[in-house]
This record gives sequence, structure tokens and C-alpha cells, in this order.
Amino acid sequence: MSQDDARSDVPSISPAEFHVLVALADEDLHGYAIMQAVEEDTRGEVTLGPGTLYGAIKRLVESGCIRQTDATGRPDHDDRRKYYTLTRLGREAARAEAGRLESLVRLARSKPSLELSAGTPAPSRS
Amino acid sequence: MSGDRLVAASTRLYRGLLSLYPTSFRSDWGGEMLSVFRDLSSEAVGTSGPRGLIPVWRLIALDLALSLPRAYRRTGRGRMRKLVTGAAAMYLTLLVAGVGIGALAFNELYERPGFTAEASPEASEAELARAYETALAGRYGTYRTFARILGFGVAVALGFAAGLFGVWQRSVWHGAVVFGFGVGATLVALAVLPSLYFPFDRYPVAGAWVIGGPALVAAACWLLVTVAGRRLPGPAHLVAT
Repeated sequence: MSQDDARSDVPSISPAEFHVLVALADEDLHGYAIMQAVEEDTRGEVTLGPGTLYGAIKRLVESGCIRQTDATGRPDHDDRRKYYTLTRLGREAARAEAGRLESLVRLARSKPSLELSAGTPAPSRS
Repeated sequence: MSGDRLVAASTRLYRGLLSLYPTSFRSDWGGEMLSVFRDLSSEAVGTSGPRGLIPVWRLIALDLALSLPRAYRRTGRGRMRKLVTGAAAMYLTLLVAGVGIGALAFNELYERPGFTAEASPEASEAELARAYETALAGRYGTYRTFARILGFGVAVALGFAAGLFGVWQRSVWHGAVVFGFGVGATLVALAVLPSLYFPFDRYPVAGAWVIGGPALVAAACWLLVTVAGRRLPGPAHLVAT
């Protein structure tokens, strides 16, 4: 049994942790790259500061959703940086959170007074 | 100032601010946070010049406000709250006990000695000196000794509480907060209550000691224990593991 399998409970995660998991979904990244990926993925709507970012990384490492990885083979590898990778539990947690948000959005869309049709982007908060 | 120097100065400032985070969090993640900040600042200055640091610091201010309470809430699992409460309770208990005992002692022991020229305008210098000697051997002397011990005890307890906190956190910032609170509270208490105990205008040396003594002794104790504590292995190791 792998270390990932040993953890059967999918932990609940905060929005910042969810952003980190999504950023790590396709590739292993270091802290600054995660920060940039989140900013890019959200078109600049979300920028994680170092304290928030590493608070989220700490909790995700502790809960077994991500772990540090050896990235020496990568072309852009930088010895000074620590790279993080998603674990199976992390993928499950991301899927569970995405599902939860999806059902919430579905619920919101079912309310005619909110005038949210499928594919209509929500108005920006700023 | 050139871009590189600006980034270096900015990074130094951020390194200082990192000491606001709990020790265990800082020792695990502080290096990476600093590296991310450096990258962020370099990119901002490279793209927008020195003005690029303005949004960076705006982000950092918000980030500190949001992430610091969370880091304390989640790191140490209430140990900090417990220790601060313990140190504050110890300090307040001693202060209240000291003030209370002092008030009782005032009723029991204090009898204004007549060795000042105001109290005894007819007396000669020699008579005043004799009265002073008599007062020192009597209740006035007893009370004066008591007040000195009380002031010293409160100050040592205060310094010790702050020092314990400093040893636990191994951080000057946190030790300074407790120390500042303790000294402030002592000075306020002694400034409000002196008329109960001393006519300060007549006993300036005792007054100066009571007001200044605790702060001086507490400062010395705090420096000694906190600075020494930062160089010794302490409970912070347990928190980090």
C-alpha cells in the first residue's frame, strides 16, 4: 500500500489550498511558479501572497495532499527551489472540492432571479 | 537607488517582517517565502521600475494581515495563547498581590515620620537627622524596605514572565510585546497608586526607585533571559517537531 492509499479521508480544503491543488494538477511547480500559475489561471483575480501561499502549502503537505518532489530532471530545474507535486489524495481532494463548487454553481443557476445562464461569466467583484 | 539595491533593501525589510510569524512556521517556510518575495520584487522592478514595488508591498500588507492570525491559530495549537495567558496571569497576580499587601502595610505600618522641615518647621537640622534615624529604625524604615522588596519582586517576576515567553518563542518581537505590556501596566499602576503609599514629594529617592526600579530591573532580566534564551535549545524545538 502506498503512502497516499493509507489516507482514506479526503480533507476539506480552503479556497487558497484549492488554487494550489489546481495549479499543481498538470505539473510539479515551485512556490513562485504556483503563485504565478494561480494568478494566470484566475486572470489576475487571485494573487496569493507568500504567507497565504506557504500557509496553504504547509497544510496541504501535512494533510498529505501534496509532497515535495525531486525535480532534478526538469529543464528549468533550480537547485535553490523546492518543487511540489500532487498526491493521489490531493487529486481526490481537488475533485471533491470542484464537485462541491459545481453543485453550488448548479444550484445558483437554478435560481431564475440570479439570471445566471450556463456559460455566463459571473460579474467581477472588482 | 538602483533596481538591484532596491530589491535587496526590500528583501531585508521582508526578512525582518518574517520574524512576526511563529518560530516553527518561519523555520520551515521562511526561506522559501523570502525567495518568493525576492522573485516577486525582482520581476516587479524589472517590469515597472521602482514603482513596481508599490503593488508588491500592498500585497504583502494584505498577506500579513490575513496569514499571520491563521499561522498563529494553526501553529502550536493554542500553546501561544496558553503561554501568554499564563505569563499575563502570573504578572497580574503578583502585581495585584503586591498592591494589596502594600495597601495593608500602609494601614498597619505607615506613620508619617516627622523628620522633614515641612512636618517639623521648628526642629533644628540635628533634630531632623535624629528623627530620620529613628524613622529608619522604625515603621518608616520597615515600610521602605518592604516597598523596595515589593518593587524588586514585581520587576523580577515581570522580567521572568517576559523572559519565559522569549525563550519559548525565541523571538525578540514577542518578548518585547509582553515586556512592553508588563512595564506599561506596572508604571500605570504605580503612577495611579503612589499617593496611597508615599508622599513622593517628601521621599523622592523612594519614589524614583518605585517608579524607575521595576522598569530597569525588568529590562535587565528580560534582556538576560531573552537574549540567552535565543541561544539555547528551548521548547520551540518541540513546537517545530
